[in-house]
Amino acid sequence: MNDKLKIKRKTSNKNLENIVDVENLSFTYPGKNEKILSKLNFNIKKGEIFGFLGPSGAGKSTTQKIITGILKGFQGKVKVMNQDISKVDSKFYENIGVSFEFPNLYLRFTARENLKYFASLYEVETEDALKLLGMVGLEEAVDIRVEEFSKGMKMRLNFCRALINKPELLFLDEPTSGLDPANARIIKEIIREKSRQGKTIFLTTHNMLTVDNLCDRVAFIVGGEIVLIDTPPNLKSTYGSKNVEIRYISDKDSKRKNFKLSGLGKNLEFLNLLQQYEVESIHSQEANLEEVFIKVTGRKLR
Amino acid sequence: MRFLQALKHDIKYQFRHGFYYVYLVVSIIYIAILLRLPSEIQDISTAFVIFSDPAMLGFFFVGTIILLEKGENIFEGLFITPLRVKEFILARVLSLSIISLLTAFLIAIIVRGFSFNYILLFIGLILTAIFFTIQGIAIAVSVRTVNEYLLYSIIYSIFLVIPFLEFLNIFESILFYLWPTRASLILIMGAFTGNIGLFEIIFSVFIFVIWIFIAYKWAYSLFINYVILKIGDQ
Repeated sequence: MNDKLKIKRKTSNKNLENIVDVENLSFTYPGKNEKILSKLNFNIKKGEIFGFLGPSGAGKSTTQKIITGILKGFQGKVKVMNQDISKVDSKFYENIGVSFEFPNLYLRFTARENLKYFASLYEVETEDALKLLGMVGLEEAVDIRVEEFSKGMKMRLNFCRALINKPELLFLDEPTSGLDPANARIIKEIIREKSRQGKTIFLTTHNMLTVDNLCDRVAFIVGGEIVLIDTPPNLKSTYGSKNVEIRYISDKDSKRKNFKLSGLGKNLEFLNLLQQYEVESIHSQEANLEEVFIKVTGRKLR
Repeated sequence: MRFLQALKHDIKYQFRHGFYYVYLVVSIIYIAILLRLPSEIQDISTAFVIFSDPAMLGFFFVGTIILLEKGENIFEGLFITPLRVKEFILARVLSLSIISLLTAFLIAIIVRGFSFNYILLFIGLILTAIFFTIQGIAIAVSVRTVNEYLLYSIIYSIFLVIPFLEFLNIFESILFYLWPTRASLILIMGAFTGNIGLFEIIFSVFIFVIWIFIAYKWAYSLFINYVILKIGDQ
């Protein structure tokens, strides 16, 4: 069901406008010879959740700094929400939201005071602070100072901060890091909901599960170059293979063996094993994106 | 308006971190000491205390605040909103000038009654506070630790107190007229002693305006390099 919905949304995305349009983007820090980014080309469509993946130093944050209008002096063309990013002024920030990997909050202020202050800096209509805090399960902590928050609570409040101006384009850096599984699920559900509302999400993370769960498309970036861009299911079927792991008892020992899922019914070794030994368990294993990444780029993510 | 929101927030922040209370206590101590001095040196002593502390407090307060904000990673969150660096600097400078003005006038009025030129004191104080707070911002954004900040502050203070050689009759130079600290001291002293001519007032204000302009440009470019361009680098 979920997959069907996803596919439906993706097809309809095809006709949608590009929110981010990057053409031949290259960047070299002033005074350095080495290129940080080399001829990047990608676009992100309205409502899309776009994953940006790569090891540290690959150029992820430089790319994000350029798309958010912080870093100028690049080569190539970058258009964000139909504006040439090299010419935007402070109005541009009315419509974007950024949540960084580490929280940016006033520790001596309460959750409500933090959100209200950030909200007061926008001219556009802002979200109700209490509604946002309720969405991420911080309703009990509204009037508690942030210095008393746990890391996970700070992360959730920081996520709210990025949403306060109802941004059209949302940048999220490791949105589920430091969260317990229940809260991570809530955050992911909000991200999906934002995407359904037509908001565009640029997501950078090391967490392949988050990518697999959330992203419509993923770009792999290594050494300042985009190696490929595709949907997670395509990547898995193109580069990964589905396996079956079987555990059985042989000579009173528990043993494991892997078989390819395709052609399993005709795999004699597998069939013999089933007949000759006492089987403890059989599990099918999907190729995961982490393996795909290593296969494609020859690099580990961390 | 963003600037007013930033100003309001800055004042709240300074209250929350106890800066107002600290300065109330410090002012009371100064007042107690100044009231015990013989009346013939009260004028000069009051002027000197106000010059050396309330007028310059922005320098140390802003350093502390910016280092606290760096610890909270606040700038990353702040400058991806429409808030501009110039609005931020202006709000910060004004909010700290308010503490300077409040404490200086509290000390002056309690010690001297209303027998001083408050317009001149206001001009001298606000220019000094603006200048030193901007300097504090410039240094604080470019250092990483409190110790580094203090080290730079000492080097910087040595440069600033050079014109005092003249007041102590050690060394004289026409170049001292160009020093911001001299302009500051002349205006604040003049407010209490009345020993200041119109030309000196205009010249001191003129010198200050130039210094403030230079300091602002310097602080602004350091802010862009050390804060804005580092957003998202962690």
